[in-house]
Amino acid sequence: MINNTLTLAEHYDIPSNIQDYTPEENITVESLCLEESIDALDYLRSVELRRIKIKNDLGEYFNFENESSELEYLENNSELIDILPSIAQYIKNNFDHNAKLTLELLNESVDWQTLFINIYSCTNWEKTNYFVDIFLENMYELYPFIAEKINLNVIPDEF
Amino acid sequence: MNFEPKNFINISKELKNGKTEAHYRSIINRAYYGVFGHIRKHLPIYVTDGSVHQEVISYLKRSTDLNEKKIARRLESLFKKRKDADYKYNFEIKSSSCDFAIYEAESIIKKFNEKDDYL
Repeated sequence: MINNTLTLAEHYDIPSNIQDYTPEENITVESLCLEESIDALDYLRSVELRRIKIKNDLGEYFNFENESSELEYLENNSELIDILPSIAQYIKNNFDHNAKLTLELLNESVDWQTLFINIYSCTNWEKTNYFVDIFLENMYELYPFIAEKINLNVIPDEF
Repeated sequence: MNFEPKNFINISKELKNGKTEAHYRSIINRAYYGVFGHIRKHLPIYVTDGSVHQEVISYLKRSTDLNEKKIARRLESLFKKRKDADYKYNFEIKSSSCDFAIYEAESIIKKFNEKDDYL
């Protein structure tokens, strides 16, 4: 019997001391599920941390209409995060210093998603046309890639 | 008989005689459809499935002409106002928003008509 075992061990390149060989010991269905759960938790935690950072970066300038939608969009279009504070300043300096700004995702389909900057303003609606026109012109000239992803929605005479 | 969709904007103006929020919401709806229909009628767009609103706005967005891109953005903004007016009941629509929607609809049509490629 011992001789047979040794012969098999040589033939299949496994340890000769068969009692010490427990290759399956650490890999169980339960342990695999646990690892997957830990990976999933790590992923969720990193998503959560990224979203907290976006909120911190933009919270000073904007409120969010439906937080999770806008944050997800911003996560996937992170180039917007750096420029949105400058856009907020531009709106305040050139349109209405007291305007309340919010972000809202228009999500009509996978191919039609636009991040709207809602501008709640006390400014008369007749003045908005000129401002929006100049804003769009500047955006398309300076940041055409960004201009494709955002839009303005002025809500006039709001206060 | 060839209906002119921009006549919906006249209905918007007539609705201004009403003073309820239902009137206000309907004014924005008709103003949007007035300008949307006018532009759609003049673009080579044939949609069998999917959103015709998306197709019209995307067509203008894809243009290399800056004015058409701007028209696309302003039409998209009016589309959002119309959707809010039709479906969002948790915020109040004021009469000033109606004046703005009518003015914006007429202004977009004027800009679109300036470029006579489609007319």
